[in-house]
Amino acid sequence: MENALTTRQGDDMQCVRENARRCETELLLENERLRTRIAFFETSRGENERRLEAAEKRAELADALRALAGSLESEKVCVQQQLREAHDELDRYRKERADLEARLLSAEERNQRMERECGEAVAQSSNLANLYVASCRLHDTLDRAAVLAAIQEIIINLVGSEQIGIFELDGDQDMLSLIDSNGINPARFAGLRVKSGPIGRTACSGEIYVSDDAKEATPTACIPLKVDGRVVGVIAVFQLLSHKPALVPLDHEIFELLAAQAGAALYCTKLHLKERKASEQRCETERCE
Amino acid sequence: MKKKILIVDDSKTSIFMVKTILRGGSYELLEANDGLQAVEKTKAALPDLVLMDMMMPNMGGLDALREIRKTRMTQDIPVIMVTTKSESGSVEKAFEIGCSGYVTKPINQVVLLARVRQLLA
Repeated sequence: MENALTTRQGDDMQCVRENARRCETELLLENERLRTRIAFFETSRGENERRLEAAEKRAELADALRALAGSLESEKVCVQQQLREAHDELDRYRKERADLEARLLSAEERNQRMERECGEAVAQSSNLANLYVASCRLHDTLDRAAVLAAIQEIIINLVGSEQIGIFELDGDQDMLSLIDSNGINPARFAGLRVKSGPIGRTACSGEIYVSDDAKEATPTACIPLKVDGRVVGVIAVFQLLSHKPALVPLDHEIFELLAAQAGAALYCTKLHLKERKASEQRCETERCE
Repeated sequence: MKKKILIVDDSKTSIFMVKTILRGGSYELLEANDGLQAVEKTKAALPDLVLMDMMMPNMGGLDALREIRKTRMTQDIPVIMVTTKSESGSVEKAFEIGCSGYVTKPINQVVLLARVRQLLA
């Protein structure tokens, strides 16, 4: 019994020992596992600390960005306000520009009109100067030769022709005699019949004759010389100067003036001559008596 | 001081016309009726400008121009030929002798005034 007890005790001891060994092994394993976990946690902790640090940095950065965004937002509001003001100003400038453009256009139109009117005034003044000179020259003398010279000078200098013939109707009113000329052959025009050719027809009609395509030795214009509406002669204008291609409106006005005044001027010279002769005769008679 | 302009022409009408055109310009207007008178008056009065016809008795415009250009006192006075002659030969000859401008008759008021103002400026 004692042996059995001893054996049992030995078994128990053996069992306890085995249990203890197993327990020790398990504890060692557990210890090892715990160490591994501790090592893992140690590693995780470093990582977490780094993450935390990074998160803190990100939070700081986010704060800075939020502050910047706030600042940008207010700046945006300010810029939008400025933009609205700039738009308003631009609109004002556009309106002002449109207004200025309209005024410029109107000023340009006015300027063009003034230029046109100024040109017309200058042309009119020039025409009046020509007519004034012609009229003055016809009436500033009672000498027949001087009046004939004045008629020629008017045609040469104011109309622009150096080929002129001045004809006078004879007493019977059927022949025209050349009384003065320049640049033409007088023999060709020694005696012209009324109603024959442009010169004769002008003497008959009393109307100014103008030819647009006058040939050599045919008149470009024939101007009747009138006294009290009665034709007393004709001025024939032949070729124009080479640099004058055609008659211009002013020439027609000069022709009208010559038609109305040259005849009267020539008639006055005749009267004056007659009066002078009569006066001389009276003086002679008185002296004889 | 008024600028002096000598108008040379044997035609009274032409002189009258030029005087009428220049009357508003406050110039002192002198006149001569031929080339000889023109040369004499140019030397005596020393005008600022001469307006010279070409065809004149006694001495023509081109000869008068030649004489004016020969004399030291008058050689620089501008001379405009005012004439009915428009042939290129006449124009060339006038410029060869030394004219300063060329205006044809019938005179265009605007053209004459422009030339005169240009040469007297």
